[in-house]
Amino acid sequence: MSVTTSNTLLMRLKDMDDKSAWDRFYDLYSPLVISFSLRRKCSQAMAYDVLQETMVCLMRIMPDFQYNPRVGRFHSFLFKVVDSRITDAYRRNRRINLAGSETEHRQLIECLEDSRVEEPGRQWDQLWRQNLLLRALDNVREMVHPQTYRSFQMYVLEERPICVVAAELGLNANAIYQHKNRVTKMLKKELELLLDEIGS
Amino acid sequence: MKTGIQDELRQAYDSRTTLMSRAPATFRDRLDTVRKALIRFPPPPGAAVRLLVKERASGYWLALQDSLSIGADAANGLQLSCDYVSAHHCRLVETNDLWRIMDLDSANGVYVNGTRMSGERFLKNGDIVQVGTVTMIIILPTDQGCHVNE
Repeated sequence: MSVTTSNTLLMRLKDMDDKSAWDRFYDLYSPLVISFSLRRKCSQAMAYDVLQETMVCLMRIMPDFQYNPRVGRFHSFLFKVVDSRITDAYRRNRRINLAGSETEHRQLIECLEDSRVEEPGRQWDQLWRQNLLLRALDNVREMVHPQTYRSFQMYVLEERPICVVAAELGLNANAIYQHKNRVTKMLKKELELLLDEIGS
Repeated sequence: MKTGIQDELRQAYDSRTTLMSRAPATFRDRLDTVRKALIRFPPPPGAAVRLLVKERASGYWLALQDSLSIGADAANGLQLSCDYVSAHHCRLVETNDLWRIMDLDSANGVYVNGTRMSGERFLKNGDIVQVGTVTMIIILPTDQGCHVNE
């Protein structure tokens, strides 16, 4: 699936006064930035630093940002910004720890090198997609009956045997299949809407 | 037989603890303070690291060189004539592109992002420093604070 970001939210971010656009961007992307930083072995404090610096950086550049999907996808650009902020956070942390023991210093450098071993770009793409899926799932959960969501959660997400789900929820297998199909269909629709808003 | 999207969703669901993690609400408020400050006081163009100095409705930008002393005394690089500011309150120092702030044993302390600091600490892009009734925000130039590793 191609991952390019649509103009809608990006265009709105050009207006620094558009608080709702900035809030929306923060809601959608801050968990992604934090979780990606944590995957790159940042501490929670470092992950928050990365988020702050990323957001402030975007505040500086978005008003003049010229989005051209032919040149590159926004989410790839954002990855580079976040990745650079992670490097900066490690640089700062290394300085802070220079006064510490040689062992501490070595551990920190090893941690930085380890975080480079895996392909960060692939990690970022995966987390970006998963982040959107969870947002879509959240939206669907609010739209369906709690029992419908619960049967989907137990059968699809937790992979519990259908007989167990049926017994626990007092449903027959056919109803559980229907819930699965209904939620999956709604999920795809929600995902499309999200992608339409921030990326397609 | 499960569909592709369900497999993807299951993986996402397994990672939901980290993927749903959020910064504290105060964090978002702080970023909003920075956004509003940048709207009200747009940073001048140029490659300098800048400090927005705000008190009540007024504010101005200072381009930082390698250090800046802050306090009520006239000998400081930034003299703050307001309450709760010591004669020699704190100092900003740059070393290898990293800025630190040092509290010079001020009576009323230095607050960074709402927390009283002790000794010294590194500053990041968008950090909010409170000295007395004055608020300062450090902003890195776009080519430094927003550079992208190719």
